[in-house]
Amino acid sequence: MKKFILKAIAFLVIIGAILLASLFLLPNNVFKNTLMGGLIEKNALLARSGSPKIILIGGSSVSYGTDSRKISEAFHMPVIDMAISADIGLKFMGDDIKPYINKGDVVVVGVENFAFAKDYPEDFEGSETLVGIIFDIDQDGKRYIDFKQWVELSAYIPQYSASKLVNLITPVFKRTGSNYLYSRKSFNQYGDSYLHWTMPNEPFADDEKCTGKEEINPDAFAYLNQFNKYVLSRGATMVIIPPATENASYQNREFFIKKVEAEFKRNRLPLIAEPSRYRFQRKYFFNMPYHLNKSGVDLRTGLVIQDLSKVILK
Amino acid sequence: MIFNSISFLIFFAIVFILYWFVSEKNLKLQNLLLLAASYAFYYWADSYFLILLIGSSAFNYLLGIYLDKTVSGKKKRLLFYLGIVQALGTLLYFKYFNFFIASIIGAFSSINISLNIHTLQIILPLGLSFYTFRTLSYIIDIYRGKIEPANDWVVFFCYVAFFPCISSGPIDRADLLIPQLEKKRTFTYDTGVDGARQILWGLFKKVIIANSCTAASDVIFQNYSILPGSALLMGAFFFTIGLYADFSGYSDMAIGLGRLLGFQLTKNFNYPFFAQNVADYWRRWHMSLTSWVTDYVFTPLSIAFRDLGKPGLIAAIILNMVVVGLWHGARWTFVLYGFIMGLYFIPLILTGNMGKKKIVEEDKLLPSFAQLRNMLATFTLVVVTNVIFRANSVADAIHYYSGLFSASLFSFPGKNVDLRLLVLAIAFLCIEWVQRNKDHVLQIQRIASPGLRWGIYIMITLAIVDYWTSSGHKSGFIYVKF
Repeated sequence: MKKFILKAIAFLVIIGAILLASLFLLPNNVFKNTLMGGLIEKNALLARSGSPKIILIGGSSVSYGTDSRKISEAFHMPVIDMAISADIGLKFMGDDIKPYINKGDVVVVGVENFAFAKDYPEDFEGSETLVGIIFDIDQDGKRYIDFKQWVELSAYIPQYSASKLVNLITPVFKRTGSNYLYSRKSFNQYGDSYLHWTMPNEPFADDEKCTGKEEINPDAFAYLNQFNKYVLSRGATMVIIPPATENASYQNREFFIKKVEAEFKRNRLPLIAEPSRYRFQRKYFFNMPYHLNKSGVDLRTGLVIQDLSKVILK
Repeated sequence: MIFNSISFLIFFAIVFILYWFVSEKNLKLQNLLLLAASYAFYYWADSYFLILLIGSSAFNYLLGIYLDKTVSGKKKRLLFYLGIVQALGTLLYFKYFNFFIASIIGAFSSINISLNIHTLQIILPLGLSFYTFRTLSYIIDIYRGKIEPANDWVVFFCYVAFFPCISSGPIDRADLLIPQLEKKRTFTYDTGVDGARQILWGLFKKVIIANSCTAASDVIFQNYSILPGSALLMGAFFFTIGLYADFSGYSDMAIGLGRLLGFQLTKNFNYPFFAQNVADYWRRWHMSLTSWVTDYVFTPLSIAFRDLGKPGLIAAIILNMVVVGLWHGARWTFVLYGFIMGLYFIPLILTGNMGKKKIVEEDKLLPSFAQLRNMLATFTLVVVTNVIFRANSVADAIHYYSGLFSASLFSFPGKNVDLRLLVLAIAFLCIEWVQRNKDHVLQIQRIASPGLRWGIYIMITLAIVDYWTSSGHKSGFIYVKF
């Protein structure tokens, strides 16, 4: 037994040492050139935009589902699409923009329903993607991570370290040229992902059906309440607009989508449209139940403009 | 909590230390710890139905004792049927009730009669099919006089809820597991190391092969109407490889965990894709279920039909395979899947080849042409039939087949199929082929250099860690749903 335990510990120590060396010593040029690297440009864009402005936050449903130019033209305000990926987590998305919120701004929260699910704490706290951001893209971002979030992220640190190592050895995912869909260069001047607008739809899988056991993550709602108060204290406005969801996935997730909607209402959070309003047919989606093609982007953007008209005077 | 999660790793490390260092000298205490760990594991995964698991264990424990003590044939039979009704009743209610109601409604509506009955909102308890089959065989074996009932309730409750097997098997019989629970377990270095290697290989299969193949097949199955036949063939192929890697990966982990706790569990897979015919395939696929239905369904049926000769044997096989299909869930696709698998046995029965085990010689690296032909034919049959297993409905399966067997079958699947995944899946099959005579692939003692062996373990571990998220760390095991 002693020999077994010692060998097991030795094995784990070797694995741990390799992962630590990878995390702190290896560069990650592959990751920096993906969508996540775009956070640097998006933050710079946000910093130089004057107020009042519209700030969009959310997962890829926002960045792959919005034509910010049209919104900007409709309301004669700068629009900054800060959305990149749901994996960053709602909490970091909110914390990251806090320093830039000023009087008259409108913060549009468009996160997917998973961010409020107890089973998906990573969509609230962040996951491997956020680890990559705070270690290799925006090291100052570590200041937003609280103890509880570090505990959640600790499970993803080994994965991120291993991915750096794999990227170094076999750069199979090195498809990060300027034309590639998921590259850092795929954002337009507003922060929208636009390279796919000219591409044909791809087949994709639907979200899994709810089991009926899904529960709300209270931390996510506590944070959103606190974030809303912060936005109000800065003289700005927060609104929630549901993400565009493909019909079949909406049906599969309806149990939980309704639960989240009820929780928004119970918390008196400013949800300004019913989730079913953004339930679209499959033909409007590009490669995921949340990524819209150009027709879908136009459809959703039109609805967003209508909904925002309720809170922004043109 | 699932095996491929950090929380399970921590959970098992704690159980392992307490099991071998705190409770090792006291068997009763060790079994109590095992029971507490099993219930904690179950509660964590499915808090709703722990009470059902405990209730079923208590009922069958007491029934086993009464059944053994009862001398009167009539009373004994009554108790036996009580056990059967409890087990099948629970299974029927939770797993098949809505299926029967929906089928009845559908049948009547087809003749324009509308029934005012409704299906219920029923959630399937975790591992129900697995632990029910375990208690069912226990009661049947006591009734048949094959085994003695367990005298220690802790032992029996552990047998039903043993955490490595509770959610997806193997379906260990009482005569294998209960004696191991009744005697002191010992830890040996070689067994422990081999168990750890088997867990590592199981994780590799689950996290890298299964999750990638299942995700790829999901996309193809959900978009079959717009994809060419060649992509649909790849979808069926990825689904088959994914299903195997998922379930056999789970079984490897369960067996490896069992070995770390000093148990020898039933082997559940024996490289089924190298089977020489369908009968051989079923002897190698989900072996604990196949052996269970052979003993408790096929054998009684074949005895009942023995006067009918070969037609009787065919009927017994087909019914047996329908039960296997239906065991997976309450859907007509599973019934049809079992029925078609049963039909594949007919040529084997008629030619007298069903029982013959054709094994490729151990010392040969390559199979003969005839062996390769048989393997490919069997594998193709399995891949094509698995479309029914995976389809959401019989109509979906038919539409999938009409797309599959079209002229576009010979077109290039293009970007609809990830060719890197295809290479990975084929490489995986080749590695399994080379190691086909071992209990698991990581039995690599023939590599003399310990440094090289460790290098392989480290590479596999790093690959698993890397794939953990990108393949969806939450992805549960497919067979947990059954």
